[in-house]
Amino acid sequence: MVNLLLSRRKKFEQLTCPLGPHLFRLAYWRLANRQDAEDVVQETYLRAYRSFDTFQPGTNIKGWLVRIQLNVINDTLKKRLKQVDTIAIDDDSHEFEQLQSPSASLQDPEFQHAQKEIGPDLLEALQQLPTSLLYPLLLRELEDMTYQEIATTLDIPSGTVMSRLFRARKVLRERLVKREKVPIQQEVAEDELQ
Amino acid sequence: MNCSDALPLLDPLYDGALDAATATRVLDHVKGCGQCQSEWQEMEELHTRFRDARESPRMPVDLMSKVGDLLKAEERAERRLVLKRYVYPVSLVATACVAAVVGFMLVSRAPQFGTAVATTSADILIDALGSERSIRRVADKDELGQMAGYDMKFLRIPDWHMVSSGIYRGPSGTAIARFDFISTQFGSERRLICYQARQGMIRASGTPRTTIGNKRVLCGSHGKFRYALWSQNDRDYLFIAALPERQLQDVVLKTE
Repeated sequence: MVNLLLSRRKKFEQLTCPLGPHLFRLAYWRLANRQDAEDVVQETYLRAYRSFDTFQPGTNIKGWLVRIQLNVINDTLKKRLKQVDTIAIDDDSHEFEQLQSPSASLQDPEFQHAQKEIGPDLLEALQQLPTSLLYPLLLRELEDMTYQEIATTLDIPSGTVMSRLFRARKVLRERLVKREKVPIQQEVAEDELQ
Repeated sequence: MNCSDALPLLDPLYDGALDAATATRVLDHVKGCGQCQSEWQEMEELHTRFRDARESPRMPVDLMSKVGDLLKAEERAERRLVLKRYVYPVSLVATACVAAVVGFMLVSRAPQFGTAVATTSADILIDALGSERSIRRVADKDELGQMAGYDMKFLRIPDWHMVSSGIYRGPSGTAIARFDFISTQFGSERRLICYQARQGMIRASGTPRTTIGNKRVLCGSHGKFRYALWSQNDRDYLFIAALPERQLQDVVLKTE
């Protein structure tokens, strides 16, 4: 029994440890906080190890791990929301969208440090994206995931991945290049109706 | 293909997600469309921003070792849980089973315990009185106990004097201590045979037990002999004598 446990951990580490840098980068780009990103990665590995039996060998380990990490990130964001009195939490569907508001984090030294590493305009523009647009974009641009892999990871149709990438890039381009304000929530609402 | 058709397909074209035929049609449109070329150029610029920044930040060098430590700790916790849930209970059950088997074997092999104890009857013991071969004389108390397999618990019988002691060995493996007494209180010399055995070893048939003093005594007769059987101090005591019943009961009454 003890040997079985040992081999289980080693097998898990062999499969998942090469993905550590990817997970850290994804968490950092989402949270813009190094310590939070480290905590998220550790919690992700812990949760993944505990549910390693649910992983089907031969399927996409990266997608499986990223899906767990996004849940951990969402939990982290919920904690942040509880700490920010000025942000009202009505329901789960809006809380992460509201968190995109940079007002609470722009003065944060950690955020400023992240701006230097990622780029001030790009990070700020990403922070304003709702998660429904942000996650497909990050998985595509940072992790080079295919549309199908993104669809499987986020549990959404492949066509929705395509439309969300289109809208995410459009919003970013407009913010970065044209410097025009875009009614983001309206864009998201239209996307959700499709 | 017009711009409204082509613009939503620029992203999948860039990502290599279009089939060859659709990709060719979109590219043909872009080559001749200034607006779509501008969109394509902006898309490339955005992609360049990501490409330039995607190597940042570098993962802390000690993060994966922290993860490794975390997983090892989790593994240890799992191991403890497995031991607690499965191994310990199984070992306890196994220990209990072994103890039960050993206990059963000890009980089944020990003739002095339980229902497996060899028994004999008052009639057999009376019949054996005339056969000296069934008696081995043993004077020492400790040796007597070792041969019988139990400690002797002596009674004091007033007016009677012990003249010999020994071990009766029956055909079924019984080993019972025997003590011979004599008395002249009745005008002539009378003999009293006293068998002492572990309680339950001697059976007898006779009248229902009567209370004599503080003893519940079964009285009976076999041939010219009368006997009285009772239990005391975890021992069976069988008195045999060629005496009238009342006199034998009187001896039992005075016995302490």
